[in-house]
Amino acid sequence: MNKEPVIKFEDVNFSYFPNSSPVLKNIDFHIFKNEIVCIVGPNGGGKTTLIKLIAGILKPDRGKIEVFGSSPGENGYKLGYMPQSVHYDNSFPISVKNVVLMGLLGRKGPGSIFGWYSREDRQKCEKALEMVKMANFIKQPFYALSGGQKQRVLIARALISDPEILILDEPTSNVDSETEDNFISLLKELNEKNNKTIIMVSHDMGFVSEIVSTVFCVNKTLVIHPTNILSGEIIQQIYNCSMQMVRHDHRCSGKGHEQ
Amino acid sequence: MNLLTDIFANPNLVFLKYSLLAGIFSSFAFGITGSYIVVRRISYIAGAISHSILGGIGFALFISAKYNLPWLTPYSGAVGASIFAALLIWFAEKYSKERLDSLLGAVWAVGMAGGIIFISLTPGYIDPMSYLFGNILMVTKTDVVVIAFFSFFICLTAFLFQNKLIATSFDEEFLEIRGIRTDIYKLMLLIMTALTIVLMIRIVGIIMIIAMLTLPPASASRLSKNFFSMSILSVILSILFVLSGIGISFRFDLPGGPSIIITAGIFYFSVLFLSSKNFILKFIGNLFNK
Repeated sequence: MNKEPVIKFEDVNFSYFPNSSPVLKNIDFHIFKNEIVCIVGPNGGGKTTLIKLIAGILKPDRGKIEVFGSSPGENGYKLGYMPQSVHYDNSFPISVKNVVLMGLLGRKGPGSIFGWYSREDRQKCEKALEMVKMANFIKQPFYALSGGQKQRVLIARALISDPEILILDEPTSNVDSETEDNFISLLKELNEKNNKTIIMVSHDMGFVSEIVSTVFCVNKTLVIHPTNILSGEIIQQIYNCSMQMVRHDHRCSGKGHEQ
Repeated sequence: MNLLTDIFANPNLVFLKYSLLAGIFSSFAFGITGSYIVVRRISYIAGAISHSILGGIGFALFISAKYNLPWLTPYSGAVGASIFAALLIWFAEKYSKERLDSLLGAVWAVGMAGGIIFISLTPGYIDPMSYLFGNILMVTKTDVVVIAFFSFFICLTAFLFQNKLIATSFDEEFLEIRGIRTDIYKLMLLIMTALTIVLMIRIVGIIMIIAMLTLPPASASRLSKNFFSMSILSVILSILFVLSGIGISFRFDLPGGPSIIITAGIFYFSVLFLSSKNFILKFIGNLFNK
């Protein structure tokens, strides 16, 4: 394994408004090539902010961030991003092909101002869909797909620019357990065969421990837990913060939520 | 067919020819911009912009009469007001924490109120009704040329930036992470909306223009699977509604704008009914089986 970190945070502070209390404080971590990292934490704990800092959309107030050895945003094409699939409009008329091709927008270079796709781009699109086993659906409208199929298409969109790091936001928030199992094996394959470094935001601990090598627990500050030395105390700690997530998402089945 | 040749040959019907041409040319912009408005679900923004236009029309009429500026036509006032409203909405959405619908309500009502006050201050009698509900007799040859130019410009912009505009409408969050300035494309859509609205004021009027932006694309979206076919179909439907609406108004001596809107409305509700027919029949069946 290459020991040079692909993402490096050194003592980073971030707040959205000057003089307000920081959303993230003293964040310090390295992510190495081929790692699978899971970021867990309560809503408003700073998970999405952390991702935006990695992508270079937000700038830190203090500290240093490096992505592939340079400042974030410069290597944007090396990051593939999959947002939560919850917020999509279920009647938006768009084909699977066009959703995947979207992953190529934002390239630098001549002609990029209009964002037109070339024939080569369409081949890339087919390849990306093959990687997630969705090649047969290329002409289907996106809204006609099932939750798990949509998720695969969104992964293909993240993969089309051939990124080295995949960032997945709540990939398991809206799918059944079978879909989740297929999804885990897909991620494993992408990690092992295609050498993708994977960062995901999740609160599903069962899902997490199976393939994840490191857990980042983010709640204003960051605590790193390598999964191979998970002790009872650490699990307790992680579950404390993930339990809060579960409650916010109304996935509890206890009596506490029946009113 | 008789009617058609009559319209283009008979010099007494020249107003009809101009309004038909204006309707056809503006339909291109309406079908395409309207498709974005429907999929983005921002018809209330289009409503606010279109109503605020009365303010611009009133202002132009008043200033032009008071300072004797014949070049300041109601049309240029309308263009100015619609772009001003679009910019205001864009800025407020981007920088202010104000709720969007409160702001839109304000733009909507203040624009209309200002327009009526300016019109009442303007010497001579001006009928605001023709701006509010349209008047096909008012379409001139210059209007047709201006409409054709703007419509072409709007379609060209939509064509060139189609991938980015569609992507912005579908998933802003993703594009932002990819480092794309979605705010620019949102502004582009708002300016397109503002200019498109101005095109058909003469024909359908300020109040009903929102129907021409939403009914053709909303019908088309029920009949198409991707955005491209949806916008093409909305252009075709828009042309059909304008032609048949003006035809009906001429044949039965009815007001033009409302005839167009009613035609479009009947079509939309029929498509809606037919595409959810099974659901409705089942619902009625359940009512009686109880």
